[in-house]
Amino acid sequence: MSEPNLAAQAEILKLARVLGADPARFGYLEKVDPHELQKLRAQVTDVLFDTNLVALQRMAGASKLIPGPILAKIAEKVFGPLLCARVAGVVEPSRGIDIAKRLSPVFLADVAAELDPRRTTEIIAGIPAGMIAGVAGELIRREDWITIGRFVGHLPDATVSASLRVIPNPALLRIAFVLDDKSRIENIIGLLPTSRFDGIVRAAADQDLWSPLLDLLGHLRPETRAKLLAQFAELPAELRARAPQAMIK
Amino acid sequence: MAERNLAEQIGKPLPAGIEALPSDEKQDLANALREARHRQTAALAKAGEEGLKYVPAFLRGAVRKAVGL
Repeated sequence: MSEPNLAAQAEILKLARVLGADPARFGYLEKVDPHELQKLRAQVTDVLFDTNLVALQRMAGASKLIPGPILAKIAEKVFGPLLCARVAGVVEPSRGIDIAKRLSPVFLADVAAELDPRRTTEIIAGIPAGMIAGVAGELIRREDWITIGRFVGHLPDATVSASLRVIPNPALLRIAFVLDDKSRIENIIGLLPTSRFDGIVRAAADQDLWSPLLDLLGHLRPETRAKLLAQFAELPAELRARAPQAMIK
Repeated sequence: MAERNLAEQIGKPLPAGIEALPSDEKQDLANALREARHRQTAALAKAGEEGLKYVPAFLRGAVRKAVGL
Protein backbone atom coordinates (compact mmCIF):
# COMPACT_ATOMS: atom_id res chain seq x y z
CA MET A 1 0.00 0.00 0.00
CA SER A 2 1.39 3.39 -0.91
CA GLU A 3 1.72 6.20 1.63
CA PRO A 4 -0.72 8.60 -0.11
CA ASN A 5 -3.21 5.74 -0.10
CA LEU A 6 -2.81 5.28 3.66
CA ALA A 7 -3.20 9.02 4.20
CA ALA A 8 -6.35 9.10 2.06
CA GLN A 9 -7.77 6.12 3.96
CA ALA A 10 -7.20 7.93 7.26
CA GLU A 11 -9.05 10.95 5.86
CA ILE A 12 -11.90 8.74 4.63
CA LEU A 13 -12.27 7.32 8.15
CA LYS A 14 -12.42 10.84 9.57
CA LEU A 15 -15.00 11.97 7.00
CA ALA A 16 -17.13 8.85 7.49
CA ARG A 17 -17.14 9.46 11.22
CA VAL A 18 -18.34 13.05 10.77
CA LEU A 19 -21.10 11.81 8.46
CA GLY A 20 -22.00 8.86 10.71
CA ALA A 21 -21.58 6.53 7.72
CA ASP A 22 -19.70 3.31 6.97
CA PRO A 23 -16.19 4.19 5.65
CA ALA A 24 -16.49 1.43 3.04
CA ARG A 25 -19.15 3.54 1.33
CA PHE A 26 -16.52 6.14 0.41
CA GLY A 27 -13.90 3.84 -1.11
CA TYR A 28 -14.04 5.96 -4.30
CA LEU A 29 -12.40 8.82 -2.38
CA GLU A 30 -9.08 6.95 -2.11
CA LYS A 31 -8.02 8.55 -5.40
CA VAL A 32 -8.53 12.07 -4.00
CA ASP A 33 -5.66 14.09 -2.51
CA PRO A 34 -5.83 13.72 1.32
CA HIS A 35 -5.54 17.51 1.74
CA GLU A 36 -8.63 17.98 -0.42
CA LEU A 37 -10.46 15.42 1.72
CA GLN A 38 -9.43 17.32 4.83
CA LYS A 39 -10.90 20.52 3.33
CA LEU A 40 -14.14 18.69 2.50
CA ARG A 41 -14.33 17.32 6.06
CA ALA A 42 -14.00 20.86 7.45
CA GLN A 43 -16.80 22.04 5.13
CA VAL A 44 -19.05 19.11 6.04
CA THR A 45 -18.42 19.67 9.77
CA ASP A 46 -19.39 23.33 9.39
CA VAL A 47 -22.60 22.44 7.54
CA LEU A 48 -23.63 19.91 10.21
CA PHE A 49 -22.89 22.42 12.93
CA ASP A 50 -24.74 25.27 11.24
CA THR A 51 -27.75 23.08 10.34
CA ASN A 52 -29.04 23.21 13.93
CA LEU A 53 -27.18 26.28 15.17
CA VAL A 54 -30.25 28.06 16.57
CA ALA A 55 -31.46 24.94 18.42
CA LEU A 56 -27.95 24.31 19.75
CA GLN A 57 -27.62 27.91 20.95
CA ARG A 58 -30.97 27.65 22.71
CA MET A 59 -29.89 24.46 24.42
CA ALA A 60 -26.61 26.03 25.47
CA GLY A 61 -28.59 28.98 26.87
CA ALA A 62 -30.98 26.70 28.73
CA SER A 63 -28.04 24.78 30.19
CA LYS A 64 -27.21 27.86 32.30
CA LEU A 65 -30.47 27.29 34.22
CA ILE A 66 -29.72 23.68 35.12
CA PRO A 67 -27.41 22.66 38.00
CA GLY A 68 -24.11 21.07 36.81
CA PRO A 69 -24.65 17.57 38.28
CA ILE A 70 -28.08 17.30 36.62
CA LEU A 71 -26.73 18.63 33.35
CA ALA A 72 -23.92 16.05 33.37
CA LYS A 73 -26.52 13.32 33.92
CA ILE A 74 -28.63 14.62 30.99
CA ALA A 75 -25.49 14.78 28.86
CA GLU A 76 -24.63 11.12 29.42
CA LYS A 77 -28.14 9.62 29.58
CA VAL A 78 -30.05 11.66 26.98
CA PHE A 79 -27.83 13.74 24.74
CA GLY A 80 -25.16 11.17 24.03
CA PRO A 81 -21.75 11.91 22.50
CA LEU A 82 -22.81 13.51 19.20
CA LEU A 83 -25.18 16.11 20.61
CA CYS A 84 -22.84 16.86 23.52
CA ALA A 85 -20.09 17.48 21.00
CA ARG A 86 -22.32 19.86 19.02
CA VAL A 87 -23.52 21.78 22.09
CA ALA A 88 -19.90 22.05 23.30
CA GLY A 89 -19.24 24.16 20.21
CA VAL A 90 -21.63 26.92 21.35
CA VAL A 91 -21.70 26.66 25.14
CA GLU A 92 -19.80 29.16 27.31
CA PRO A 93 -16.30 27.65 27.76
CA SER A 94 -16.39 27.87 31.58
CA ARG A 95 -19.71 25.97 31.59
CA GLY A 96 -18.35 23.41 29.14
CA ILE A 97 -15.27 22.83 31.32
CA ASP A 98 -17.45 22.46 34.43
CA ILE A 99 -19.60 19.80 32.75
CA ALA A 100 -16.65 17.99 31.16
CA LYS A 101 -15.05 17.60 34.61
CA ARG A 102 -18.16 15.74 35.78
CA LEU A 103 -18.13 13.20 32.94
CA SER A 104 -16.37 9.84 32.89
CA PRO A 105 -13.22 9.37 30.73
CA VAL A 106 -15.10 6.70 28.74
CA PHE A 107 -17.93 9.09 27.88
CA LEU A 108 -15.49 11.94 27.23
CA ALA A 109 -13.63 9.68 24.81
CA ASP A 110 -16.96 9.11 22.99
CA VAL A 111 -17.56 12.87 22.88
CA ALA A 112 -13.99 13.53 21.72
CA ALA A 113 -14.57 11.28 18.72
CA GLU A 114 -17.45 13.56 17.63
CA LEU A 115 -16.05 16.92 18.72
CA ASP A 116 -14.88 19.66 16.37
CA PRO A 117 -11.66 20.78 18.08
CA ARG A 118 -11.66 24.04 16.08
CA ARG A 119 -14.80 25.17 17.91
CA THR A 120 -13.90 23.88 21.36
CA THR A 121 -10.27 24.94 21.82
CA GLU A 122 -11.02 26.92 25.00
CA ILE A 123 -12.86 24.03 26.62
CA ILE A 124 -10.18 21.50 25.69
CA ALA A 125 -7.45 23.80 27.03
CA GLY A 126 -9.37 24.25 30.30
CA ILE A 127 -9.72 20.54 31.12
CA PRO A 128 -7.01 19.40 33.59
CA ALA A 129 -4.03 17.69 31.90
CA GLY A 130 -4.48 14.55 34.01
CA MET A 131 -8.05 14.19 32.83
CA ILE A 132 -7.07 14.61 29.17
CA ALA A 133 -4.38 11.97 29.72
CA GLY A 134 -7.12 9.66 31.05
CA VAL A 135 -9.18 10.25 27.92
CA ALA A 136 -6.06 9.70 25.77
CA GLY A 137 -5.53 6.39 27.62
CA GLU A 138 -9.09 5.34 26.81
CA LEU A 139 -8.69 6.32 23.14
CA ILE A 140 -5.43 4.33 22.98
CA ARG A 141 -7.24 1.30 24.44
CA ARG A 142 -9.70 1.68 21.54
CA GLU A 143 -6.84 2.22 19.07
CA ASP A 144 -8.61 5.43 18.03
CA TRP A 145 -5.50 7.17 16.68
CA ILE A 146 -7.61 9.45 14.51
CA THR A 147 -9.38 11.17 17.39
CA ILE A 148 -6.13 11.76 19.25
CA GLY A 149 -4.58 13.03 16.02
CA ARG A 150 -7.39 15.55 15.53
CA PHE A 151 -6.86 16.97 19.01
CA VAL A 152 -3.12 17.26 19.46
CA GLY A 153 -2.91 20.56 17.57
CA HIS A 154 -5.39 22.11 20.01
CA LEU A 155 -3.80 21.04 23.29
CA PRO A 156 -1.38 23.09 25.40
CA ASP A 157 2.16 21.69 25.75
CA ALA A 158 1.64 20.66 29.41
CA THR A 159 -1.38 18.56 28.40
CA VAL A 160 0.48 17.01 25.46
CA SER A 161 3.37 16.13 27.78
CA ALA A 162 1.02 14.47 30.29
CA SER A 163 -0.64 12.52 27.47
CA LEU A 164 2.67 11.50 25.89
CA ARG A 165 3.54 9.66 29.11
CA VAL A 166 0.60 7.29 28.56
CA ILE A 167 1.10 6.86 24.80
CA PRO A 168 3.30 3.87 23.91
CA ASN A 169 5.85 4.29 21.11
CA PRO A 170 3.98 2.32 18.40
CA ALA A 171 0.82 4.32 19.17
CA LEU A 172 2.82 7.53 18.96
CA LEU A 173 3.92 6.67 15.42
CA ARG A 174 0.35 5.82 14.40
CA ILE A 175 -1.01 9.05 15.89
CA ALA A 176 1.68 11.21 14.28
CA PHE A 177 0.81 9.67 10.91
CA VAL A 178 -2.84 10.77 11.09
CA LEU A 179 -2.23 14.09 12.83
CA ASP A 180 -4.44 16.87 11.43
CA ASP A 181 -1.80 19.51 12.04
CA LYS A 182 1.53 18.03 10.95
CA SER A 183 3.30 21.31 11.67
CA ARG A 184 2.96 20.32 15.34
CA ILE A 185 5.11 17.17 14.98
CA GLU A 186 8.45 18.87 15.69
CA ASN A 187 6.98 20.44 18.82
CA ILE A 188 5.55 17.10 20.04
CA ILE A 189 8.76 15.18 19.48
CA GLY A 190 10.57 18.01 21.27
CA LEU A 191 8.39 17.35 24.34
CA LEU A 192 9.58 13.73 24.49
CA PRO A 193 12.64 12.73 26.49
CA THR A 194 15.33 11.71 23.96
CA SER A 195 15.52 8.40 25.85
CA ARG A 196 12.33 7.44 23.97
CA PHE A 197 13.89 7.92 20.53
CA ASP A 198 15.40 4.43 20.60
CA GLY A 199 11.98 2.97 21.45
CA ILE A 200 10.29 4.84 18.61
CA VAL A 201 12.73 3.51 16.02
CA ARG A 202 12.48 -0.01 17.49
CA ALA A 203 8.67 0.21 17.37
CA ALA A 204 8.89 0.95 13.64
CA ALA A 205 11.10 -2.11 13.14
CA ASP A 206 9.11 -4.44 15.41
CA GLN A 207 5.66 -3.53 14.09
CA ASP A 208 6.50 -2.62 10.49
CA LEU A 209 5.65 1.04 11.05
CA TRP A 210 8.23 2.33 8.59
CA SER A 211 5.73 4.45 6.63
CA PRO A 212 4.65 6.37 9.75
CA LEU A 213 8.31 6.74 10.80
CA LEU A 214 9.33 8.06 7.37
CA ASP A 215 6.40 10.47 7.42
CA LEU A 216 7.43 11.62 10.90
CA LEU A 217 11.04 12.17 9.83
CA GLY A 218 9.80 14.24 6.89
CA HIS A 219 8.16 16.71 9.27
CA LEU A 220 11.11 17.18 11.61
CA ARG A 221 13.87 19.78 11.65
CA PRO A 222 17.22 18.40 10.42
CA GLU A 223 18.76 18.27 13.92
CA THR A 224 15.82 16.32 15.41
CA ARG A 225 15.74 14.04 12.37
CA ALA A 226 19.47 13.36 12.83
CA LYS A 227 18.89 12.24 16.44
CA LEU A 228 16.28 9.69 15.38
CA LEU A 229 18.40 8.51 12.46
CA ALA A 230 21.31 8.04 14.88
CA GLN A 231 19.10 5.67 16.88
CA PHE A 232 18.23 3.86 13.67
CA ALA A 233 21.94 3.39 12.98
CA GLU A 234 22.29 1.83 16.45
CA LEU A 235 19.67 -0.85 15.76
CA PRO A 236 20.91 -4.43 15.34
CA ALA A 237 21.65 -5.26 11.69
CA GLU A 238 18.71 -7.69 11.44
CA LEU A 239 16.26 -4.94 12.45
CA ARG A 240 17.81 -2.37 10.12
CA ALA A 241 17.53 -4.89 7.30
CA ARG A 242 13.73 -4.72 7.61
CA ALA A 243 13.71 -1.00 6.77
CA PRO A 244 12.67 0.25 3.33
CA GLN A 245 15.32 1.76 1.04
CA ALA A 246 14.06 5.29 1.75
CA MET A 247 15.08 4.82 5.40
CA ILE A 248 18.58 3.65 4.61
CA LYS A 249 19.42 6.46 2.16
CA MET B 1 -38.49 20.95 -4.50
CA ALA B 2 -35.40 19.33 -5.97
CA GLU B 3 -32.86 18.03 -3.45
CA ARG B 4 -29.78 20.20 -3.15
CA ASN B 5 -26.53 18.89 -4.57
CA LEU B 6 -23.28 18.76 -2.57
CA ALA B 7 -22.04 22.26 -3.47
CA GLU B 8 -25.47 23.74 -2.73
CA GLN B 9 -25.61 22.07 0.68
CA ILE B 10 -22.11 23.23 1.53
CA GLY B 11 -22.73 26.71 0.19
CA LYS B 12 -19.13 27.22 -0.86
CA PRO B 13 -16.99 26.08 -3.80
CA LEU B 14 -15.96 22.44 -3.31
CA PRO B 15 -12.25 21.54 -3.04
CA ALA B 16 -10.95 20.97 -6.58
CA GLY B 17 -10.36 17.24 -6.01
CA ILE B 18 -13.98 16.79 -4.93
CA GLU B 19 -15.40 18.96 -7.72
CA ALA B 20 -13.54 16.75 -10.21
CA LEU B 21 -15.29 13.55 -9.03
CA PRO B 22 -17.85 11.88 -11.32
CA SER B 23 -21.39 13.12 -10.70
CA ASP B 24 -22.61 9.82 -9.15
CA GLU B 25 -19.84 10.00 -6.52
CA LYS B 26 -20.63 13.64 -5.71
CA GLN B 27 -24.29 12.62 -5.50
CA ASP B 28 -23.40 9.92 -2.96
CA LEU B 29 -21.55 12.50 -0.84
CA ALA B 30 -24.55 14.83 -1.10
CA ASN B 31 -26.86 12.00 0.05
CA ALA B 32 -24.56 11.12 2.96
CA LEU B 33 -24.50 14.75 4.11
CA ARG B 34 -28.30 15.07 3.81
CA GLU B 35 -28.78 11.84 5.82
CA ALA B 36 -26.41 13.10 8.54
CA ARG B 37 -28.24 16.44 8.78
CA HIS B 38 -31.63 14.73 9.08
CA ARG B 39 -30.34 12.31 11.73
CA GLN B 40 -28.87 15.17 13.73
CA THR B 41 -32.04 17.27 13.56
CA ALA B 42 -34.17 14.31 14.68
CA ALA B 43 -31.76 13.47 17.52
CA LEU B 44 -31.80 17.07 18.76
CA ALA B 45 -35.60 17.24 18.79
CA LYS B 46 -35.80 13.95 20.71
CA ALA B 47 -33.07 14.96 23.19
CA GLY B 48 -34.81 18.27 23.95
CA GLU B 49 -37.96 16.48 25.10
CA GLU B 50 -36.18 13.58 26.82
CA GLY B 51 -33.78 15.87 28.67
CA LEU B 52 -36.64 17.76 30.28
CA LYS B 53 -37.58 14.65 32.24
CA TYR B 54 -34.36 15.01 34.24
CA VAL B 55 -34.87 18.72 34.95
CA PRO B 56 -36.40 19.48 38.39
CA ALA B 57 -40.10 20.34 38.03
CA PHE B 58 -39.68 23.90 39.32
CA LEU B 59 -37.15 24.64 36.53
CA ARG B 60 -38.95 22.88 33.70
CA GLY B 61 -41.04 25.85 32.55
CA ALA B 62 -38.04 28.17 32.33
CA VAL B 63 -35.93 25.57 30.54
CA ARG B 64 -38.74 24.74 28.12
CA LYS B 65 -39.06 28.45 27.29
CA ALA B 66 -35.27 28.86 26.85
CA VAL B 67 -35.07 25.85 24.53
CA GLY B 68 -38.12 27.05 22.60
CA LEU B 69 -40.20 23.91 23.12
